[in-house]
Amino acid sequence: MALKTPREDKIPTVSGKESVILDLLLGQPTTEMYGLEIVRRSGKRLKRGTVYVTLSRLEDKGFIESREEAPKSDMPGMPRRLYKVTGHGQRVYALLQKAREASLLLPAYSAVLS
Amino acid sequence: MRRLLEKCALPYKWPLLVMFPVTGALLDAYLVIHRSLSPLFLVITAASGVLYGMLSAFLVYGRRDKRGLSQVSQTMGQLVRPPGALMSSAARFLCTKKTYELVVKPAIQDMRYEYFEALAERSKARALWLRIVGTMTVFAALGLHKVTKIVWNVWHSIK
Repeated sequence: MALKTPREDKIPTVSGKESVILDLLLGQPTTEMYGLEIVRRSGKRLKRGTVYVTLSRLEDKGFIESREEAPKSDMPGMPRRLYKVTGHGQRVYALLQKAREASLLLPAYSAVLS
Repeated sequence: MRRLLEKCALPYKWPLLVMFPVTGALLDAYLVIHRSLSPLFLVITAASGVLYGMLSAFLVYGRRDKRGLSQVSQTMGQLVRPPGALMSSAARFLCTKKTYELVVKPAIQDMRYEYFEALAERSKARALWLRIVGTMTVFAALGLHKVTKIVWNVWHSIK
């Protein structure tokens, strides 16, 4: 699946659900996860019906990439789709985390300055 | 009689194939006789009848089980068609390629995986439950995807 190149003039945004998914995927950046695994690990923060739409949106934004796993001979059925974070996704998430921390510290700073 | 039954291995689906075209033809005949509506309406009715016929033919014969009844009855209790197969082919027909690849297909893949895992553990009740939940998941994901898309389009058109 071809990824969209992120527009330079556009500030990337991450919604609450997207943030949960990125958080889970960045917990183990080297390993890939499939949709239901993300739902299970989220601890009821994500639901089955919403996870695939959110994942497709994240992939559309270029934060994650996916591939189909190689078919196994011992397990029948379609191969699952595995997701992992891209370098762009990692950078954006790190920056957003910093911005969040800064916004949390802002009241303390303003109190000190005043 | 047995041969006749074997010839129509999916007899319960044939009403789907003939219902709408026959109803459409009857309606057309009524309108032609009474000439109460414009000919354009007749054309639209006929076109929709043909489209429905094509869709029904795809659903009925697109995945026809070519084995006879005797063979099917021998394999009763075994898996004949994986869960989500009809849903997958219908979604492939109705949705865009991107929606199918990124939303519908992963949901069906995960459902199948769980389903087969439950079957491997010989838990038929759990497999059935997972199948129901998986089907609902696909419909929920599709509905949510459509709603998100509409909101997104409206937002961009306002902007």
